[in-house]
Amino acid sequence: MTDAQLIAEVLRGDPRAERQLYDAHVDRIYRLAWRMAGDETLARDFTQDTFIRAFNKLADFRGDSSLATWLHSIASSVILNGLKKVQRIHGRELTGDELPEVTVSTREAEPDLKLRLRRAIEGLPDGYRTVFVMHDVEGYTHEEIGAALGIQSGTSKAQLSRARARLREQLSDFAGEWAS
Amino acid sequence: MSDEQFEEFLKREAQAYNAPPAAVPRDEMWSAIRARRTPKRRYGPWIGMAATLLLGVGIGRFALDRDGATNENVLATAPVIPLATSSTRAADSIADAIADAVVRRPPAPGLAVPATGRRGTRIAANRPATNSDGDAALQIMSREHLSRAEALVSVVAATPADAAMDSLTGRWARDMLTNTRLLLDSPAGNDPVRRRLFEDLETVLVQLIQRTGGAVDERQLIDRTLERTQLLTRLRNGAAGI
Repeated sequence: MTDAQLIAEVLRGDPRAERQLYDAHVDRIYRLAWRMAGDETLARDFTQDTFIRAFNKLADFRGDSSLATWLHSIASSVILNGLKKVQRIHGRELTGDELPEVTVSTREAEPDLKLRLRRAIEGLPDGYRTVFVMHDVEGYTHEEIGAALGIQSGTSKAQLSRARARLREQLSDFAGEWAS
Repeated sequence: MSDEQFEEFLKREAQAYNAPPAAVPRDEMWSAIRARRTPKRRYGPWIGMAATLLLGVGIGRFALDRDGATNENVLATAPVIPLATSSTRAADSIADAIADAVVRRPPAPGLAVPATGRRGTRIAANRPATNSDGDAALQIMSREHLSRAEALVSVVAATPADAAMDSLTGRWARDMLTNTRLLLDSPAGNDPVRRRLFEDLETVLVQLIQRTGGAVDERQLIDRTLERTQLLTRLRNGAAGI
């Protein structure tokens, strides 16, 4: 079933089509929410809000982009606004100490370096961090990032470059370790 | 140290950054989504849109259907009731104005009548009250009430779209609802145009109260309606015109 057919079924009120649309996209959106939030509850909330908003606005979807891109633009908005709200509520940024333990690594780096890397990523401005996570961590293309965030792909590339430069600067005293 | 080496390191080690669990709680999240969407389906999106649209239309019609009385004429004959500083005082003021209108008693002590309609020029109100006194008082209370409604809608419109409505705003809407019902049951509600206006306002307030701390998606309906109907602008014009 194509996106257009699926959307038509959803708009006709078919609950199975709603679930099918959800199943097709939920994993990637949940992963992105998790990466950005670093918290299971927030990741769930952001994912749910994304789909609720998407179902409510589905009639307005004109098909200018793919359904996945459109969903990711909603998800990005929900996640970034949600994180801002959380920061406002807590009155501070999340610190590295509060982040969950690292569980995945294909090649072990020094624990101190890993901790420093996490903190350096957390310390990036929202725009840089979002592009960095989407590209270097989740593997989105610059075109996908641009469409999701409403920016040019060139802007995405520039922000990624600045994000990497800032991370390199933050980790400069570990220069020997990342090369090993 | 080359950029390539660093980028390789980043891509490798950043995979551990906020690593999500392998299993996605699809069913749990789907259940939550279904539960949060159910209330909207029960009421339907068009109810909210229609109510807010009618509110704007009603205010406009009410402003145009006044008996040809200008604001100056109204002020010249009306008791001036102090602006309430709290919702309780607002309710008291409205109740007083309603009582004045119903029993045709003279304005309560402390209420003043402007001599010329100009601000700051007031004389004591010790003349007998007429029917128009009570009507004018209710008209003023109605106008103030609609101004507060405008303020409330402004606050809601200025709140980030994805933010849950806070309890303070909900309390505000609840107080407004009390006053709206007072006005509905008063002679102010006898006029069919005005009655429809208050009934529409009552509907919107109930919707706002229902979404206090509730689903974010309900807010989108309100936002879309505000944008399409230019309700805030019309509220401002309508409240100023009564």
